[in-house]
Amino acid sequence: MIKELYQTKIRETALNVSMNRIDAVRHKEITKSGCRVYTDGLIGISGRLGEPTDETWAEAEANLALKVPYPFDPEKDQTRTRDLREVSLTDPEFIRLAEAVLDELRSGYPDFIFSNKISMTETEVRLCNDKGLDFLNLDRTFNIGLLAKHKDSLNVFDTGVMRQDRVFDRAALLRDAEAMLGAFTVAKPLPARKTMLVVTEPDLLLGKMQESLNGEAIARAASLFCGKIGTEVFSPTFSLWQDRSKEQMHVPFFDTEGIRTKQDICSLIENGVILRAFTDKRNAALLETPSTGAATGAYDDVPSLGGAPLTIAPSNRTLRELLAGEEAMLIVIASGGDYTGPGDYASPVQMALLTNGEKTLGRLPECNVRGNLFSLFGSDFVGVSSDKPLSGNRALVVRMTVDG
Amino acid sequence: MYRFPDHLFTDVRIESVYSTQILLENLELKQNKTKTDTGAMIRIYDGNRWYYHATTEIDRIQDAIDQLAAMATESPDIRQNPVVGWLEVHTGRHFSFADKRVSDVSNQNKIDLAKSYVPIVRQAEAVQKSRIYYLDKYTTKHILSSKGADVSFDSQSCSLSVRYTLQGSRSPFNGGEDVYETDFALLAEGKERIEAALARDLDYCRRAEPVVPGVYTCVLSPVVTGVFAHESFGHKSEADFMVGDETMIKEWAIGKRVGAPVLNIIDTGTLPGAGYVPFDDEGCKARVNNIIKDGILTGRLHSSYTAAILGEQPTGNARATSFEFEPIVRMTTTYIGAGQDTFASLLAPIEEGIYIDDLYHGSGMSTFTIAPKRAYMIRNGQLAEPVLVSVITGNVMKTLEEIDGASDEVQLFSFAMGGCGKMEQYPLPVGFGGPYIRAHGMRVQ
Repeated sequence: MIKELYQTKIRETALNVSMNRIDAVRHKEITKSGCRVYTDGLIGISGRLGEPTDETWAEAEANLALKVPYPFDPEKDQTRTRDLREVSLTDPEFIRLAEAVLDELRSGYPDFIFSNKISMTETEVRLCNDKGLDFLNLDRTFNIGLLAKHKDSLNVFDTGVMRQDRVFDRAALLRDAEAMLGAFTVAKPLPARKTMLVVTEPDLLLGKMQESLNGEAIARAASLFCGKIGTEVFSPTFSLWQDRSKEQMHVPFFDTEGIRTKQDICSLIENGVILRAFTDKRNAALLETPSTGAATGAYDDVPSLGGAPLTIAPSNRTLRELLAGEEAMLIVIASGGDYTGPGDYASPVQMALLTNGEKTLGRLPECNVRGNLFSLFGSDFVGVSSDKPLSGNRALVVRMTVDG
Repeated sequence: MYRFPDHLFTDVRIESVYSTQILLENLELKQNKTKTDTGAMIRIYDGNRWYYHATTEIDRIQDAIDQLAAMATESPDIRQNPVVGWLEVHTGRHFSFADKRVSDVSNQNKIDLAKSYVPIVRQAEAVQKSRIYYLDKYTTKHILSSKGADVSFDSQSCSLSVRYTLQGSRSPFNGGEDVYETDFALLAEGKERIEAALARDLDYCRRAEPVVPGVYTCVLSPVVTGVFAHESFGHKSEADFMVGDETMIKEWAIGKRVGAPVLNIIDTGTLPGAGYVPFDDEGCKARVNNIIKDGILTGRLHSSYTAAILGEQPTGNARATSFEFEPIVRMTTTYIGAGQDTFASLLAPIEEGIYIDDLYHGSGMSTFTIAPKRAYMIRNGQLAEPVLVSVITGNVMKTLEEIDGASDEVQLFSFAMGGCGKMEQYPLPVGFGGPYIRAHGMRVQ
């Protein structure tokens, strides 16, 4: 019998901002322990909030009687600790920094009301067993999630100052605020043409990729990409990775089955060619390929295939270079859009700015954008920026149809 | 029980959640998990700031109280603070499910129930992959405060959910259906509902063609109406968005016309289902809140904090997704009230429109969105061919004015999985519903 512990810890100080000031301070310190035992192709799991006890291990063993199959070997003889923490602040230091930023936002942008959260979050994820596996991932980020509403607006909120970083970068935060708020009151019309370049965070358009690159969907003929593995279906400049590198915040370098990949990255689409699906051990076995390390699940779940952390490979061009002199729509809020089964995407854009790639020029009216998956990442794909102009994130540039 | 510090307001919410998750993945057992999680949220208020601490160490709650008190500033007249004034003091044990707890049902009975749904999925050849979930939850909460609150209550849910991917004529199609109850004994009666949903999905995904984008008159089914009510106006009625905002206070003045005369929207934690909240997470008792009556704004949703600031009364809507979070203003069960039409009479005058039968998700700000799962053309007053739609959208306030008909029967729903999200707090169980409604001027893409 093999015994394995999957444990997550979160320590967080969160400041609630209401009416431009901090009105609440929340502390959280939560440990969640999942005790797993493996024998004869079965898995028994018991979870506990807090550190595991003898009783938790005994329950895990007793749960083998539930006969949950797990016909795979746990990982063994590997150790690695990845500590991504950069800056440590005490609570009073953190609160002072947050208050100073709020002071600057209040004085710099008196026409806006700021609300929501500023937090400092530290996570620790460990997977270890009695076969020599011991993986530990540590991370700490400062998360600015301020909603901004213009005092004359009838919206619940209009825009935001959002940033997640491993340092509390006041200067970058104020640059973000100027980009978002400075151009807000300058109205710009939509261009007369039917399509325009759209700048967005990649996740907005990756939902169908998540669904279609899922190993189970591929193995069971339930994916739009069935029959297309090994085929070039996207732009030759489009590559997509499963990404557990340090570029991702609070994403461990290993999955819930203890699989890791070289340099913490696994290529799924390379130069437009679909190479492989993302998989856990079960679906990798069905596809007769190695697992890519995409098993997920709560601390006390049987590991299973969920979503994978996906990143579009960046180009070697900055956002300004990608736009090549054309003004583009920078999507700030596009909530509620989706793809149809065949891959047609549409979404309202509740808030967008006009940008030349270096600065924001004004606010565009509410509108709708649409496109098709195979075009968005095919003929309409321009690239992902080498710089990180979107609140510390890279920018995806695609051409989309815009309806006013 | 606890030593509450002088000159500060303190409350403690202790939650114990028994839960079961059974998953049959492609008809084979994948997960069978039963557990009881206990945790607490401690709050202290000094009249200027709140201080919160979330912990799983129940035997160290007193330490947490003392630590938070050390951060706060004593306020001798804290009892006179309007926020503290609005915090209700209830006592006693209010248990509605003690005689039918899901924790008293054997794990084998739960597995047998899940397996009894297997033949429905197995017989459908077009099913490429599937999930059958059995989920239950029995929650008890105990709220104590320095004002003297000492109230305990419970809530319960159990559900059987089937999810599948079908091979449609143009692409894979994701479908499914939930059977949601508060009594385990009733779950076995949901098979016909799952079979009917599967049959509808099969027909839909084999025949549906892309819609011609445009602006249409739409008829929404009761489940879509419910999500529309939640997303379009429910979130706008949450008073925390108005705090400190003179423009919003003027715009949302009670008594203002905000919708067509046929429109009534109600929120209440008193009804059975996912939105059943007999007391909210600061101990305020549930009540019926008429948000819109005959098209006129008549109320909004409050915590004690927002009620005090806006000079209104708490409504029982301070909720948290778990002990890890502080309560904020959230909906409970939100629905549109009945009208006088029938489904047929709503369709009858429409020459070309769209009927939205079911949905994947919705969202709402100034613009609401609904991502339909199944949609059909309406031609000459009759349902016609199925169409593929990415999203329907509209301006919330304009669309509320464009509703000109509602059927005469309200249906209420609870989703077994997922729930409402607001900022960091997701998913919160909520109920929703309404009649069939007809609305003009919706953009369909």
